[in-house]
Amino acid sequence: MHQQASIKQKLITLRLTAPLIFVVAGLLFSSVSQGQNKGKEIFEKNCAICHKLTDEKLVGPGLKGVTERRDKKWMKKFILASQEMVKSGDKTAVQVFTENNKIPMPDHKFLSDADLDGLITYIEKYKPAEAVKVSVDITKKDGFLRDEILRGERLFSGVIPFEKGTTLNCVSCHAVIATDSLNFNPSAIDLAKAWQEPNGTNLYQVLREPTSAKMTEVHKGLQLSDKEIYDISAYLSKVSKEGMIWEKTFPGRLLLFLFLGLLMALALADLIWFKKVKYKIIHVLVIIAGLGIQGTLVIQEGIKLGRTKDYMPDQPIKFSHKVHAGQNKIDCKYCHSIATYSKSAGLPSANLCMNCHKVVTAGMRSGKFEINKIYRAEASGIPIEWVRIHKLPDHVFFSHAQHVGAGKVECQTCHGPVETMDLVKQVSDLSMGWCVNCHRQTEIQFKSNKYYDSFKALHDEAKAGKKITAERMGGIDCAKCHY
Amino acid sequence: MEKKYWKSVEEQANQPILNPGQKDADASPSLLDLIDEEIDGKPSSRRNFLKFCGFSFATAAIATSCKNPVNMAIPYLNKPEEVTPGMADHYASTYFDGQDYNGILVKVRDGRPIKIEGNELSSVSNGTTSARVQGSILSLYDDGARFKTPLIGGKESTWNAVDAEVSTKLAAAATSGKSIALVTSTVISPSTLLVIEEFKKKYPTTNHITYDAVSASGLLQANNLTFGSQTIPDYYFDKADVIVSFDADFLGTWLMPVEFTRRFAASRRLNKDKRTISQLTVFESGMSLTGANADYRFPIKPSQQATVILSLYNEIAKATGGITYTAPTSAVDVSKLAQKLIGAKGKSIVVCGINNTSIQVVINSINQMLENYGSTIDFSASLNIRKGIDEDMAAAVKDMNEGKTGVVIFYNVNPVYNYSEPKLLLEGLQKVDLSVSMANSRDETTAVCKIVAPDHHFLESWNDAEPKRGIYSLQQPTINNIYWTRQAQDSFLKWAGSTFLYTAFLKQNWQQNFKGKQSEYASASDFWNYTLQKGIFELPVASAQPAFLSKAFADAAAKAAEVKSADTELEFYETIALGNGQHTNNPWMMEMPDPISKVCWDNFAAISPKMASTLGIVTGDMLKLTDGLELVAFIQPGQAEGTVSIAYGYGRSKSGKVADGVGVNVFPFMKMDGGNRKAFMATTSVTKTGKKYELASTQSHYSMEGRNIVRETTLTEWQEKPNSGNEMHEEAERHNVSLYKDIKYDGLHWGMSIDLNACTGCSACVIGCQAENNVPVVGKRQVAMTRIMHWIRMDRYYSEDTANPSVYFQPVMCQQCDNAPCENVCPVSATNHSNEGLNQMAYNRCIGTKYCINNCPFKVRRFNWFRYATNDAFDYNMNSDIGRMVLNPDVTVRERGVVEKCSFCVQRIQEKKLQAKLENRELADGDIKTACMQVCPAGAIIFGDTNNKQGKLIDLFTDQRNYNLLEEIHTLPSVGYLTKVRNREEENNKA
Repeated sequence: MHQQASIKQKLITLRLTAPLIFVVAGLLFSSVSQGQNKGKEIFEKNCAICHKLTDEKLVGPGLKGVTERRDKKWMKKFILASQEMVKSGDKTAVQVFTENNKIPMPDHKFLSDADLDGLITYIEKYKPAEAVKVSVDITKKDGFLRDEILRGERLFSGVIPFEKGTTLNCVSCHAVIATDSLNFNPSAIDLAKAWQEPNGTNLYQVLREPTSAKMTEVHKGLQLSDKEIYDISAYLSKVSKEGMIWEKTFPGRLLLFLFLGLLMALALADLIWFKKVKYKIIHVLVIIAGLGIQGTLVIQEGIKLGRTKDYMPDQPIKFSHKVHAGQNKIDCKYCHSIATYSKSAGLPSANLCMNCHKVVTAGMRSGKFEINKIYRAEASGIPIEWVRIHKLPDHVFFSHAQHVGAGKVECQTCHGPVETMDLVKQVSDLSMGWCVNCHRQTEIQFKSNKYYDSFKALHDEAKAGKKITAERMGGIDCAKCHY
Repeated sequence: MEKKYWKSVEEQANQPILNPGQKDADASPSLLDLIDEEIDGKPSSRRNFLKFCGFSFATAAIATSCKNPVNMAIPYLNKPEEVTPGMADHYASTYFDGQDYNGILVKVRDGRPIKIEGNELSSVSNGTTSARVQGSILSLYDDGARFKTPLIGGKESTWNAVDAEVSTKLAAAATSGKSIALVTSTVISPSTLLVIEEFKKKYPTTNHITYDAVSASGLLQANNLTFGSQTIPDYYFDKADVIVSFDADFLGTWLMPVEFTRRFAASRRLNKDKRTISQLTVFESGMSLTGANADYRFPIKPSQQATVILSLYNEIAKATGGITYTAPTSAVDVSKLAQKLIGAKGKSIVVCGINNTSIQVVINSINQMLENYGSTIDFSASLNIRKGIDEDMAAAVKDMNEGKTGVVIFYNVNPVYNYSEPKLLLEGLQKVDLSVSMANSRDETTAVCKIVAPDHHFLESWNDAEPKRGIYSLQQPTINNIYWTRQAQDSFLKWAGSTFLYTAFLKQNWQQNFKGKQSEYASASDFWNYTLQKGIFELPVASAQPAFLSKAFADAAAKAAEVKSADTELEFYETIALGNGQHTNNPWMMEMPDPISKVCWDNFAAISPKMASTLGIVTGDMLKLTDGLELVAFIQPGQAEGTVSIAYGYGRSKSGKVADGVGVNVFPFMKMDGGNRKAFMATTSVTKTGKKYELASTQSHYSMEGRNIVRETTLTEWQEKPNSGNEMHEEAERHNVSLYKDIKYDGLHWGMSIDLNACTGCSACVIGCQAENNVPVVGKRQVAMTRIMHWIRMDRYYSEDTANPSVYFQPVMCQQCDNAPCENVCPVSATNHSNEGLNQMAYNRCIGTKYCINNCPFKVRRFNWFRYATNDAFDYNMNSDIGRMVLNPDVTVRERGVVEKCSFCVQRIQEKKLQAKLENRELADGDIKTACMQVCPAGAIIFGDTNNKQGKLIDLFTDQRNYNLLEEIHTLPSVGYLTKVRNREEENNKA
């Protein structure tokens, strides 16, 4: 209130001393908005996990109208150290505590008085964002003119700079080529999809008022005109139709194959008709070497057929196992919970994601955009379609339960160090040789499982200290996996 | 002298057996011939050769340049608690199609029902099923025949429109005083009956007619006359020592075949403790499954049955001091049989399948004299599964024709196909204001009804059932309705103006009216939930034996004696596979070889070998049997002289792609006679039309060339010498030496024992195996070319007299030889031995040389001549997305060009082993059940670990009756058979 009052006072003086100190006024204005912005920042960093600024209860109560319900001094005290107040027997504090399932609110003693003022002002002044008024047709999502699309593309890729000169361009973060898989920013097609959905993103709104701290940071200084956004949306409509551009890989091995073929043909022709090269050993060597290399190429490529080692596709959500399993140390089986008892390891359903992401609404690197996809799926009822990486052919029976549940094999044994991967990659080639190798080496856990008690002969061998591998139990029999 | 066994009359007479299809197969050009022709026939064969080469290279190039497809993995948005991807759920439910009852367990994998098993808690099914129940899952996915929406006037419509139309017409009928005919099959659901009551309350002119296509009308009315109770008693064949059946195929189709088979098998099992078995005598015309299992069988004309029955009555009456009646001379001398029956007083059963009230009254009197009521025949838990009285339907049709009926509703019936007077019915339907059918898939009746209000499939519905008095079970949906159908009960409730949904109605009925009958669960919700989980609710039934009223008897005896005999008689019967024709559009059932004739994909006129030779008929000749009935002849050993047997259930015209146009419908020839539909008729003559027709029969596939694989003995011999009939086993064992080192099985060694005394040949195992192992249907033409894919072959052998042979059944699957001849000849080692004694088959390694097939002494390997899945040339169940939903995801769908065979259900072995490991326990005996073992109503198949010295299997393998097929060639099969023991003192045919 204090700061608020002082602003008012200063505004009055401002009017009085009118045009003279225009610059000062400008400075003041910016300082005011900075103070409020700081409140917003503090709120989003510390409070938003448990509180919403509406009536809706999250973990703690919704904060709409809290400044009217509670005295400001009380609020400050409560924010700094709520439990102390509860213990001291403050009536309101105890009531709030019990009303909210006795979940204690953490202390925030690091906040200065000014911080608290800013925060409370932000809460008090908060109004849900109103629809931005724009001069163009924002409902248009298709049927743009060719010129508009072209201009949009140039704006997006930075060929034409934005009117309000900033050196930023879209394409440096929002990729249009589908190879930069470690980029946590939403790709162009992602943006296009989010915008094109029914009730999708309002581009005009989010570009004016970024939704997350991350976005605010990276979009700093970006002021696009309505027309520019309109053109960019025109381009996005094209992107959504055509999809990402796939980079072509250089067909080195194919060219080598063809070149050798040509070389051999020449050698053969020379041997029969032209006879330019004197020593026939050269022809013979060329043909033998050519056939040898070609044969090797064919065999190598043949073996690779149907195998997808190192497959690392883009996923519909930039979900990082490194963040979840690595940094946050979430157990693999928290999400892939059925792996211990079912054939399949199970992809977590969206409602399982919501266990955490109901609260964690923004990512460190991806902001809100990626996590929003879960909410959108929940709201629209359209499930998330992940790209499957590990796939065995239909004639192979593989059970996770056998390996994870009964065999106590670590997930990493087959899937590699997933906890260090941002984007999951197929580490093993999943070939039969690879399976059989492991079955030849893995020891049966005779001691820990009573199932093996009836295998007397093997049991005795194991007791005598001999190594009993899965192979001895029939682990490399055809009908263990093929039926 | 050694007995000679044979599979067909041709084989016995040493004639070459040629399936017409086989001839075609030889004549049809092979691919190589085609290429040859193509090359030869053209002026420039070199160019054509290059063309073929170019084509091959191009194909290879295209095939190898393919990119790996991008596969999506789509998790649930909100995963239902009970669903675990990759794991099956089992739901207890009920099967009742108006004919057969079964308590079932439905295996649901990732939301799709994929297999039906018997509910082990149900005292009726005891964990087993019939072939038809196994097959019923396929009709859920019958995309071609099932209705997608309700229809009005044959056009797709909405439920709102249907409700509006039906309600208006019902109200109009009610106000004008016209009757509303509700024609249903037998309804055994107590809640559905209540729903019908609700409907009647709203529309009091409703006339509920129970119409069974194949009814027990005669039996019901006879029981009403003699006991004052229009119900069917339960028959305890396990308690009987002497069983006599007059045309009642109780092991195949009569009333409760699954339960009766179990009881009969119990009475036939022999072991150390049980040293005696029952004796079965059968009087019938065509060879039925029961007749095939009989110790004594008498082939007689249908019209002669009454004389035999009356004579048996007189013999017994004479001996027990009852009143005798004058009767025509009997076709068979039954004095010895009568003596045996009297000797087993209270421990015998006389059953009769003839739909004739008077004859049934005589049968009741015989059983009464034999004091069987209350001991082997019991009214306490009486059967509810047949309630239809034939005259009711006749009256309803008459009403329709007289314009007295306003609305007619058909529920689970198809009278246009199976009523005796279809013309009369069609005329009647023209005269009603509205006709409604509630069938869920297309049939002849829906084709003529104005409105089709399709019911859910039974796997999509809620219901309950009371198959026997005091024995209840619940039915629950196992999948959401696939199409826009609505459960019939919901339709009735809606039309009755009730706001109830049937689910709630059912639950309320159970909680209000059934909860009080038990004391186990105190709260209503507990009672409902646990009962639903178990699927069954069985109450101890108080003994109730109505008194015998003999006053109706004299009249009945006189009437029974009136049945007139003709020179040639046509007899109609139900087949094991198709029953009354309800499931004809089911490709599994259509391709199931009949246990007796081994014919599939057709019905035929079965004639006796003698009649065939007199008239010069061979199998495949078209015969004119009577006006409007022409059918192909099939020579059936054991067929009674002067009779022709024809199966109903065929000749469907509007049922779907599988059934339409297959065989001939004989239901219209089953006319009313003395108040009941008669299953036989006289004909003037049988003549050849001169035309030929091809039948697809598997009876001569893979003949075993007279080797000693069929072993049998008689009870008296067995009692003296436990290895009688199986003397060769000892001999073979003695010669069991090998140059090679014996293979040791350290851990598990799987084996299977088949008790040929219990096995009745019902072929449920064949279909159970087909459902479990994704065995394809190949169609009539391929069957005729010996290319049927079933992994279990139900071999049927005849011996002795062609006029009345002894029959012998033997299920043959892969014998899993420890010294397997197939393994040695595979050039790529695609088939080899596992360390659990399984003869394993790796499909993806197989290159299709078929050496293994040639080298298999048991001929149990099958070759995939074509790709049967996703191939429109095989338009059955595996070429549509919906149809393929039934496939078991744990079993590979085989590709063209590979060999397949029984795997001992290795997927089940692996599953149960894993379960034991996860539960940290040893594998228990009986944990693993192969599909065939699980379905077998007789319990004839036992699977287990031969290394388990405490297991059941070891007892059976060491039994002196045990033998292996072709044991003298030392392939060391893992399947053992127990020698069949017949309870027969003399030759067949003489009692």
